[in-house]
Amino acid sequence: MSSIERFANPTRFMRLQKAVQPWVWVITISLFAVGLFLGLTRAPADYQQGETVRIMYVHVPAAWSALMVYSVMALASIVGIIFRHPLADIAAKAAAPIGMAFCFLALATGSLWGKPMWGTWWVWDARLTSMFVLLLLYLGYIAIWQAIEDPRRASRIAAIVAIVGFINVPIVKFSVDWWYSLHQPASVFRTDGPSIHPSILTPLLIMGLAYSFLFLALHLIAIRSEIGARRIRQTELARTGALQ
Amino acid sequence: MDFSAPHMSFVISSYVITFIVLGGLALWIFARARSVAKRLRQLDDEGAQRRRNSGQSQS
Repeated sequence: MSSIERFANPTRFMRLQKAVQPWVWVITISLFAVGLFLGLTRAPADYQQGETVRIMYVHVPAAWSALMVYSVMALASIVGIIFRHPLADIAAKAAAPIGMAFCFLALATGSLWGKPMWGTWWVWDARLTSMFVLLLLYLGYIAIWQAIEDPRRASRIAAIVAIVGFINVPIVKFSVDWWYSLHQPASVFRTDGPSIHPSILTPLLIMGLAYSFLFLALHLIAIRSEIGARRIRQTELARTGALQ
Repeated sequence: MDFSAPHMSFVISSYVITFIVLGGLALWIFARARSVAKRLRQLDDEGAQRRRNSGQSQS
């Protein structure tokens, strides 16, 4: 816990964020440039899917990121509830809109892939439905923060929702193995190794890293804003109290 | 990439939607960060002004 406690001080976090932010942007932009270049110009078209396979370079990393961000939220919520870490619920709250955007992208680009490949925009299949449930969990989590005025109460209820909702993450991941699904089974994170050719796998992994660094870059700024917003609220409350 | 291949409109739409959503998200986060920083600066300035005024009235 000592390394977590070191960054419990928001002022220390703000200093660290200011120092690492430019480097995170440089890495993010470089990864996107390389990933898009390889994915759009060097990777071959699929023998069955043709050029449509290139949707995978934006769809799959969005789905991975949506699951990763929700896991970060659940972990931060656990830390917030157990250790009362001052930055934990700020980190969870700041991550939610970013995760929701990734989740929406995974569903939208998946739908754009499904129409030419499956002949339909949407089916209520296990993978798609569990991903849609993930989007609803993100929306619900954000709605709790918007609806409850007292930040302490909001953070407790939102944390419980994030932790309970985490059960959906393994369901999304293993839905293609547990139920009959139109969606293809896992082809990268498998016990017997990836089943994709390296010419396609390399840009896919680079795009996965690019999305992860984009999340880090945006999350750091969002945490900073949330810390600032809480300071504003405290100052304004103190001022209102002083006037009364 | 072969732009004359079948279903290319779906591929292009996917990249356009990704660009719009991620770009919009980044812009929203930047805009919020700017407005919070601006309000914090205003509060700092008002606090400094108040401290100066109370210092003058005490002397």
